Amino acid sequence: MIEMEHVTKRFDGGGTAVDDLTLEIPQGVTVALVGPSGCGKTTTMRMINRLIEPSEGRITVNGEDVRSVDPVIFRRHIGYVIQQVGLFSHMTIAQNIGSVPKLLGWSADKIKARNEELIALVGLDQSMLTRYPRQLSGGQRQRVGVARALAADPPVLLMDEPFGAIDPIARTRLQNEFRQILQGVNKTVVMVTHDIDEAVRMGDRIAIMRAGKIVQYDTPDEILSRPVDAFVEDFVGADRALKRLSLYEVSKVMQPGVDPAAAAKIAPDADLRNALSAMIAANTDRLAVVNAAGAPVGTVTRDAITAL
Amino acid sequence: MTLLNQAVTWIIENPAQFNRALGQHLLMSFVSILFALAIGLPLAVVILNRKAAAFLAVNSVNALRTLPSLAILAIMMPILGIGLWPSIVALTILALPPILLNAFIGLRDVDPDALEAATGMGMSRSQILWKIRVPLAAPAMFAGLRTACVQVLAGATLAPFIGGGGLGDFIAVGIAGMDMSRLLVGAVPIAILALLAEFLLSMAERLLFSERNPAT
Ligand SMILES: Nc1ncnc2c1ncn2[C@@H]1O[C@H](COP(=O)(O)OP(=O)(O)O)[C@@H](O)[C@H]1O
Ligand SMILES: [Mg+2]
Repeated sequence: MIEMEHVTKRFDGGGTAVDDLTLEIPQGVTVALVGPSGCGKTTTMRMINRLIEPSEGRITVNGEDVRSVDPVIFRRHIGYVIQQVGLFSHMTIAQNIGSVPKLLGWSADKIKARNEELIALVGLDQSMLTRYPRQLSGGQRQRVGVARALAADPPVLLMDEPFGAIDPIARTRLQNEFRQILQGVNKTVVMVTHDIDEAVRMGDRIAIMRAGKIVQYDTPDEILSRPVDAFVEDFVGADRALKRLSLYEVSKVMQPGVDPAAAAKIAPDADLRNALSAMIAANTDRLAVVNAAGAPVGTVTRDAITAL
Repeated sequence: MTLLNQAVTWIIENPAQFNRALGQHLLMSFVSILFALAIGLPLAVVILNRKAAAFLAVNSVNALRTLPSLAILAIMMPILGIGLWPSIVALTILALPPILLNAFIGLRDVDPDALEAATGMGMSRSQILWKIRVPLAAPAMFAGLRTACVQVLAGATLAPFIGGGGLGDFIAVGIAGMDMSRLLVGAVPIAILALLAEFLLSMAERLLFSERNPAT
């Protein structure tokens, strides 16, 4: 759990980067901090692990005021992932992932076992452990960056534009995979992004920022269905209704019974946006829902989707 | 060719004199490189986070670099007198710029993302220095050492002007006596030493740091 209370950051010679910001992130929840460039997302995040000291306000992590602890020791218990990853090019992947455990004084055997576990968790082959960062692709490096951040099993994970340097095709896949990984590890996660689609895809909650303030802090569904003002409405985009549909799977609105008239098929775990798109493509108002084995399990109608 | 034969013959006939000069040459060079490393590397670390000190050090050392080797030797003479030690001091001054500048720039220009990640994961300042900055700057430091070695081996040729001895003695004698073969007794081994140092150190550089820049 992370609490920020009336936090302000003024830089010397600069303006107010973060302005009287209050934010509460419950244990185990992933919050996407999203907003236009320069609105103070990175500054907000870096105050949590004390890479930046707030000018005013109070920040607690799991009940502990971050000012009361030694920042260096404290950071070892907070995972940190940055856009450019920042792998250590003179170290192997194994040494990179084992950096924090080594700082914490784990035994070599324990570090080795943990490395093997993590490299599998982020979907890489064990043979990668003996390689050097330069031998990996951008996407592989970002996976290693996440493995490194998770190494000592920190309760909190901070990620600043973790997919920003990855090409768009690999990005979507990585986002979906990381969403799965994060759901499995029960971390409190703060993820900074300027991309509303990424925020919708990754966040349990979304905090939309503008000029150092949070303008709306809600679930993706709420943000997309009820933006609080014109700024949020504009930021989430004119296709917000479609974005909202992508939050849900076909199985959520599926009706029992197989309709022999259905002209096209869809999988139960496809999202509703794709279902609607399939209907438009087939010029129909209902789809047969077909499981992986090819057996029909139900029907999804356009009315059911739009009623959501 | 006959000149070279004469030079070789001279070396074979006067091994003690040749070996003594070679020994002096290597000793002078080696000791001054050690001094330059002992001064330059810690100094690079000290000025790393001190802007004013870094500015001062980099500019002084750059000024030193523009001085010709002969001028450095000439300046040493009135201050330190003549002999081996003044030559070593002069050669240390010659070796210092490449060692200090390469180390400083190498340490300063370490990948900022690696530094950000290291800080963010909870490394202390000294851990960042020893585990991240120094290893990442090592290739630059090594390149500075290589330049310094070649410069010092060549620069030691001038040591005889302040009584430092070494292979340069033969060159001085050769020029004074218009004896080209004696001149070669000094010049050829100096050239070979400089080339050998360059070759061996660049081999070592490749062996030490190749893993980080794999061809694949
Ligand atoms: N170290 C700094 N010194 C002065 N101003 C800064 C510094 N870091 C960030 N800022 C300013 O604070 C504002 C917020 O920056 P940042 O938090 O990086 O934005 P974001 O991550 O949302 O793009 C920007 O106007 C930026 O120029
Ligand atoms: Mg940012």
